[in-house]
Amino acid sequence: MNRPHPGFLSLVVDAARRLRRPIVPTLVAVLILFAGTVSLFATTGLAAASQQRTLERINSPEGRLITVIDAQGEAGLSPESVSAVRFLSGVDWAIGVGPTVDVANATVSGGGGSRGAGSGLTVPSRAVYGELPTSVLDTGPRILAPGQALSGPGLAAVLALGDGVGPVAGRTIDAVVVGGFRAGPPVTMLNDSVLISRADSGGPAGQDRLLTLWVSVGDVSQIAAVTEAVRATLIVADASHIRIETSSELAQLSVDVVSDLAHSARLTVGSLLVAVAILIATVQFGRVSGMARDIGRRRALGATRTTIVLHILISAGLCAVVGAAAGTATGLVVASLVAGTLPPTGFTIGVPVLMVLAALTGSVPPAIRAARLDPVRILRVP
Amino acid sequence: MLIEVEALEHRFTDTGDPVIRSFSHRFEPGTLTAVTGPSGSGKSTLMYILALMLTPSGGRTLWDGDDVQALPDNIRSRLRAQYVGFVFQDALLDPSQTALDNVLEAGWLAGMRADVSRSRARMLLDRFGVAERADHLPGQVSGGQAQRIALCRALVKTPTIVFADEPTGNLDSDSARIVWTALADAAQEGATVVVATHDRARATDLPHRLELA
Repeated sequence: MNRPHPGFLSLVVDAARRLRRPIVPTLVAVLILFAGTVSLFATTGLAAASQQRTLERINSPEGRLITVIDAQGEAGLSPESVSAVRFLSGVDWAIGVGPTVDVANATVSGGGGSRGAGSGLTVPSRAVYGELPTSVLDTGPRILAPGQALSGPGLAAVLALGDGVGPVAGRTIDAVVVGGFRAGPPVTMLNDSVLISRADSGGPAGQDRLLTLWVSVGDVSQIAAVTEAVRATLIVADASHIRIETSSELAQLSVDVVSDLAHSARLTVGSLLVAVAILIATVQFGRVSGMARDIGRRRALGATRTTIVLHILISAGLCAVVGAAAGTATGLVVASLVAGTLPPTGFTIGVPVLMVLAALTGSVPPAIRAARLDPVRILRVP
Repeated sequence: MLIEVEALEHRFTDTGDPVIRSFSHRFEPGTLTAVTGPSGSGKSTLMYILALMLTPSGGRTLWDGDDVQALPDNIRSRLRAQYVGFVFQDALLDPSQTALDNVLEAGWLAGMRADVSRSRARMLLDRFGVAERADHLPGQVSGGQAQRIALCRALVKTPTIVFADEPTGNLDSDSARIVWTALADAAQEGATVVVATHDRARATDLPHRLELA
């Protein structure tokens, strides 16, 4: 036994060469895999693409936002709530804003130090507590010292701030604008104001209060749990005046959508894989019957049962790879034309892999039957 | 390789008459043994048993003293691939492959290096006068040429055992002479050669004969 038996690679080459004879079962096997793969893309693939689009919409910045409102300022929502909720599990960022106060350029004649009674144009300002997230703040410095301010788009010109910086003052507030900012979703409403940084402790007097606290969660599916945690963490004088708005219904909808589509997809994919396995098994049984004399000759020449099994499985695998690859390419084109988007990458990779596995599974019984063929019985039949 | 059979017995069905009954014999290396007998006397069955393709109902088959029949099927197949050259009565070539590829298949199954196998296959095809048919399909060659190609396939791996089951039954006298000469040469080179034949005249000339009843 000093010579090795045919190696796996040479078996693959041999199986590929022999796919031409007989050609019909080869083409049928390729066609089955092609049709099965395209069907999956045309059904589950489109559903998965729609699911992905829906979830992307639901999982938007607005969808992930918890808004705590003390509309009349009667709840006494403390700025310390910002740092209290910021580090809750699942929280991405949290900022709070106080009441709106008009401010003007403090250096404009008649405006400086006049507590808002000067002749310069005024713009709304809001005290902001907490670190502004980069995902929200498109431009501008993120970390400000208390008393520093950022002006919204275009407001520096309204305030006549040279180079966009300079002191501003209002009836109860003084600050220095050190730059500008542009806020994105979900807090674009801040763009019409000057944001003045305040310490979370609530200022020297400790009497600052929040009117609105925005808390963004990392994943929309966590919003209900985080909302409860936020509610329990708020530092507030009278919780009965607090109103919390969330997209919890959207979150629940997303969970339902994922669950329903996953169930439906599993059913479709499972049924189709079983069907493909059965069809491939039927085709391979036919192929084995047609090749009985060839298999008997090979066994007589010394091919082991393992070699015969591998030969059948490799043949099926090659047909499956060709069919699944062509089906995937076609399925992607169909999905792109019909839905205008592509299925998720995991789906695109998983479908052909599962199809090939189904074809191999379906080929196991015919391969075992081929290996069990009695060469003598075959050779004795003229 | 010394091949011995002891108390060999075989029946194809549990209740049928035995095709081979209490048969014992030694096939010496370097000899060509002709097995003769009427149709149904068990010549082909004996060939298949000796070549480890068929498990007998009883008795033992020994190769150089080892009971090879008791080995698992995969091991017996490997032994057959490596040591046995078999010439079938009807050539039994793969109709979808060229003559050369048919010969190479035996070398491939035996695990021979492709270049060595190809070189020896071409040498044998040339030796047996079918080199010009190397790229033809079996359907494009005569019966005599097909049997000579089958002989090349049996000899390509330089087997130590050669079995031939009625190898000249369908051949013209020239082709038959080539086949007999090749088998005799294999024996002379040290192989154990066993030939089942109806050709009593040819068998009579051989020093080792075995008559099955």
